Amino acid sequence: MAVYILKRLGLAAIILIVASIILIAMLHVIPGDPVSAALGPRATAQIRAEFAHRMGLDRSFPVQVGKFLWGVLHGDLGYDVWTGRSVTALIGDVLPYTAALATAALLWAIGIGVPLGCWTALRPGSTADRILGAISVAFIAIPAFVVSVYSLLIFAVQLHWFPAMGAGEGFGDVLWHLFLPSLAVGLGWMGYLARLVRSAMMEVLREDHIRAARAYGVPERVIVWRYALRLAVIPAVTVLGLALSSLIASSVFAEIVFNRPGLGRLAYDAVETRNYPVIMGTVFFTCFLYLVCTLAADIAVMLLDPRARRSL
Amino acid sequence: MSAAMPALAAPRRWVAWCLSTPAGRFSAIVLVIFAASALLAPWLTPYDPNHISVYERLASPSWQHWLGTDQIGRDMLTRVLYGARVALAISVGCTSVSLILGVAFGALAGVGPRVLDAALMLLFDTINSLPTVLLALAIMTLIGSSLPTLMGLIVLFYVPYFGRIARGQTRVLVEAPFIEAERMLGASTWRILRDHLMPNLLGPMAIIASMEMPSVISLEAGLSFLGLGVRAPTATWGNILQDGYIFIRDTPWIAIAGGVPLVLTTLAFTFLGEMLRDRLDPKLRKEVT
Repeated sequence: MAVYILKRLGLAAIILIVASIILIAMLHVIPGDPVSAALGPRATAQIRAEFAHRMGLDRSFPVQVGKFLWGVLHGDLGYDVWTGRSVTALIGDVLPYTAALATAALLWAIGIGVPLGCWTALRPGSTADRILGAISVAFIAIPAFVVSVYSLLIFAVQLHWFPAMGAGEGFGDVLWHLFLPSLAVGLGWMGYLARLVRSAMMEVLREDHIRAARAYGVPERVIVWRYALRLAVIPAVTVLGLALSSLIASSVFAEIVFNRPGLGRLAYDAVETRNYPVIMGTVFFTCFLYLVCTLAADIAVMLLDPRARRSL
Repeated sequence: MSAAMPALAAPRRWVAWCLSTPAGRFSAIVLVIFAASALLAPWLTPYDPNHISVYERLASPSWQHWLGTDQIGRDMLTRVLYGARVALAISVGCTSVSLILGVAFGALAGVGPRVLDAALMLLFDTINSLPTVLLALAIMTLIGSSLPTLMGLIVLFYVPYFGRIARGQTRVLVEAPFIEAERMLGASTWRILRDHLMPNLLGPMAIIASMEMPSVISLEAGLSFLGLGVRAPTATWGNILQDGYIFIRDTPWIAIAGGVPLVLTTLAFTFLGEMLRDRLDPKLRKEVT
């Protein structure tokens, strides 16, 4: 298992290196000039040269990649070209907001998706199962940003039940501000987890050890919630890493619609000022989070399911 | 999966199958309306999608303007109908291009030397690890937004996805007796790839691609919503939703008009995709019934 984890860590490191090569190559390969894009056509040669130097554009491509990666090892993701603030600090400032939003969305997804999946798995083919199945598919299908705009329109603008913008201050207020955005972001995964747990649960309930437990007269409730659920959540745990990272990615929309601070908002605002280092740092950091989340989920599966450990 | 192309020759049976469930009927109706509004938009509405009428701006729905007008007096229903054109063109166009490129790269990785396989897989894994929307924002900073940029981005994100599946399928196919026989007869790798692998891959892959239509449509609309992609005057559902978001306090109908067609088409495509999968995958079908 240790060898497997080391291998995965190595692969993650290589992916990060390739990702930074791609991100820096984009500066060179993409037609157009990032300096004039930021400064406009009327900037003098001196200002342009200074700006290119600040973005590191005056160095050769391999040097830029090397410098960036060397910085990454020291927790340095480059600098905001306008204010000179470090991108690491900028990300550090907004990360708690995005983390809170993604975690709250994940809690919605698990808290409602998993029980829903179990409940429908016990009544396959019933009217409730079919209606809830269609609703789950609908939750998966509807784009998160449409849900964000509609929930803002209905519950914040029309009904005034929830605040329309910002992240709030103080514990209760923060939770109140989190309610709509996290629900909008988590809805898709709620439907997906419900479907996943449902089919896994139906498969598990057909297995021999469950039949044996039934034959011994173990109450159905104990069988479902204690024996079967442990196995039925494994496919869901496998995708949790993916879920968390994709929730971080789809938080971008909720952050923009609900005007909340966060990683997505940071990158979105940087587009206006053509602040490439900030966006590049955010993309790189999110990629890093994705790799960490998926690896953590794979390790969690191995801890939960002895069969996965043996198959290595 | 490779044998999963039954009875495409019998369209009537497919239509009957499609209409056999409520979800199928819903999807069929929505997709027919979607296709009709995309193809017939100029004949369905008396207005021009970009006709500005300052006196009628932000008008509520009425007999003249069924869905009201936007902030510069353009008819919303007209813009929604024309938006279907962009959605249809981009979703079909980008899905096809990504499918062809993905199958080509995937098959190449499947039969090619190990170094090429490893390099392609690493590249695919890296693109998969990069956050879609944030990377789109990065590219937007460098070249600004345009329709080709948007389409290029969508293709970039879907090629690795199709490529990985195509590679897996290729590896299974390569072991098949008929390929082995072909190789013994002295066929070159290129010939095997072109004459035997590609035709066997494209069918099943096309079905997988059709299930990705809703996510392609929502990615396109999402990026347009953020201001990347199709520039302002052109009517797309994403742009309409963005206008609706800006004027959300005064006029809810712009946001409603932009979002409802998006919700309906993604739902219809998803329901159809689910039905298709249940039909083609007997193992899954057993579970449902």
